Amino acid sequence: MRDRWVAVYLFLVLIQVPLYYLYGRAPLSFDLAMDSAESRLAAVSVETSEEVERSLAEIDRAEAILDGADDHSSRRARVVMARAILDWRQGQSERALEELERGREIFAETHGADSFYVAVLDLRIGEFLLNQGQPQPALEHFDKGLEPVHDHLGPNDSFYIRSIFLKVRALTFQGDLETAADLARANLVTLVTNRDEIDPHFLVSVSHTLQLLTLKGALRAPPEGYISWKEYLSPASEPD
Amino acid sequence: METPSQSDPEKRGVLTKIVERMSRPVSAAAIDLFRISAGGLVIAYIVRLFIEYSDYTSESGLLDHELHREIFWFTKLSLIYPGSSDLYKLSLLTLAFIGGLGLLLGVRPKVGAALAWIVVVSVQRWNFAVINVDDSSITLLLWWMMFLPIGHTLTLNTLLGRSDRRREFALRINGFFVRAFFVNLFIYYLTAGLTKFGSELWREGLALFVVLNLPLARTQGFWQPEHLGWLWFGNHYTLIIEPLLPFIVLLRKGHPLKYLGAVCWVALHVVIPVTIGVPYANFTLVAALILVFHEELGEWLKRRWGTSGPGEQSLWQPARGSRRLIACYLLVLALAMQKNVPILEKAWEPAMGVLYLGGVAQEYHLFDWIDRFNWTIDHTLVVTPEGKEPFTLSGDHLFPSSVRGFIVQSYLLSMRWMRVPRPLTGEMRNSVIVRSAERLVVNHHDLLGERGQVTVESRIGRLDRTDLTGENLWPVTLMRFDYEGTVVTFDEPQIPEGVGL
Repeated sequence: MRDRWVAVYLFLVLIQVPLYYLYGRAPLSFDLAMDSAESRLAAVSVETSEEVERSLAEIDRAEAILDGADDHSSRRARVVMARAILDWRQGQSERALEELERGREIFAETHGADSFYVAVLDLRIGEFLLNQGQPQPALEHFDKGLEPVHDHLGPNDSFYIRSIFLKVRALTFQGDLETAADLARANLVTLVTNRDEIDPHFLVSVSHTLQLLTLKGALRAPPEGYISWKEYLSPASEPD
Repeated sequence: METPSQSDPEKRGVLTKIVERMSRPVSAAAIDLFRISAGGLVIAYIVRLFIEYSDYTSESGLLDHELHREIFWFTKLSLIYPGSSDLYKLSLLTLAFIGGLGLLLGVRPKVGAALAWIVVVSVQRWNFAVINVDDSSITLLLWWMMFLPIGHTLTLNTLLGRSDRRREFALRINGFFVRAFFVNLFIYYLTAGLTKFGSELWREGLALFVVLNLPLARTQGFWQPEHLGWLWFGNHYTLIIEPLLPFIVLLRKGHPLKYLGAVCWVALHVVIPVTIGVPYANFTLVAALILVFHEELGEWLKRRWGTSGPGEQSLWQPARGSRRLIACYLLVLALAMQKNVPILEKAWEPAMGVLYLGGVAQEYHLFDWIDRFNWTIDHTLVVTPEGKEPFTLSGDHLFPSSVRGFIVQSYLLSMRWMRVPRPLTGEMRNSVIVRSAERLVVNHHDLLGERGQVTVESRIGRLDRTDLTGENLWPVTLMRFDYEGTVVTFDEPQIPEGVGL
């Protein structure tokens, strides 16, 4: 026996492999399919029909895996979100919004109506509606989502900061300049302190909103030494 | 006994020389002293598992094992399964305890080590969400016990005078696995030590201060900014000393630097459990010094208690295939520690999978993760029993004050100790909230009374150079629930049906 224990050990390890395959096939395949679809959706504009078909195939495969496993967890919301992004990219706004709201429902069912992911979806829906030129419903969603996201991620999280300034933009578009300016003023230092974590294109769009507020007299000009908000928010500058 | 390959004469020569060099005899008594230390640590660990049983291993504890088996699907292969009775689980722990006892007393020590190892690995898979370096150190010890030539000396027979003590203290035995263990030590310390240089907090000298102020530290709350100077020194002591420690095995017997190294080694591994915790990992490494000083110890034991003369050479040889197995293990282990190393990082996950499959998963990234895992959380419980005045309780009524208690709370935060696939983090969080509430009302029924409401106000945030002492933590109402007997009903957060017991 002594001289066989290594062989016995290896045998016992190897006979487990089929069981690991059985247990892991569905969750691993799901994650692989969704990771691939999501990175494709994040990386490219998804304009070519080939890219669309590939993304759709991966999302369909992921959904089929969930159906086959009779999975009722929040994983399904991830599939729905990917479809929403795909629809959004293809200009199918109504369908994208439906998918986002469906995702929100799934998170509410699986995590709770006041959960973090529901709040995240509220902020995403708010951003979507804002881009569709609907600031009022956007603001309703921002108001629902900001506090839970703040509680979960903290005031210095880039996603939270980004959402705050999307709300600033929504308020500006709606014409509520004073509230927009107050909100911007209260969070400007946090934005600048954490700007290295924020997409530079978004910083540029924030600078346009702040410039508009300044032109309308709701917000003071940028600090001395900066000719524009764009310059002030630029990662290259060193503001006070 | 295994023999080298016959196919390539030059390679065989080099390989044979390496194997021969590694197989030079060492003191058998020194190895068995290490065995005794290992046995003691294993027994202490099993006792701790017994003590923590109701919090983690039990199905009515803080962990939703059914949910965890869905999230961590690779943990399904375990001797413990959902629905297994407490008697069954406690019996397994008892078997492991007996195995540890066998190891300690040198009575069928390898069988004891194997038995304890199988149970310990099963429990770790069952409690996967909260395992840490303490657990993997015990697995490591038991794994090596199955290879090292243990049980030839210093056994129960020696204690009872049934064996020739003088012969035992002079006995020498094949040292291949002792030197292979040194390779494991190198991988351990080089990974733990060098990866810290990738951490900003460690490089700035702030990591130790932050670690000691996290809820996982025993001395949390003691350290103030005025201690920064001392802790900066401790921080850099760790940074410099840790990767250098394993090199003392290369020094000749009796070298002064070897003794200095041992002092630094012990200092590091005694201060950590006193201030932070993780005793099993640290005392395993202190025990490893027995093997590092096998020459010095062996000579002293022989001179003090052994026979005069050169000492008997044991005929023991490694079991067939065991040297190749350990060589493969060391190679896979080295690859598994290459996370964040360019090019080699592609191998770390598959290598870690192989180690896991083999029941010897290890993690040597010790506190180099502080930049990501520097979240802290503390709770105040406001209890309003029906018809009585409200009163407050500290957070340790809700979660145990221990490393595992902190790890459980990590699933409430963006931190999360073990990687949880998106977006199942929500299910994980809810399970921790519900189970902690249920545990509170069960464990503190006398304090809470029959009926009432509990609100948990928490302060959450991250400790870093901009906030070392937690002044910028933000307040959150973690939960609010009504209780009646042991039944809880949540107002906040809104928990979906089906979560909890």
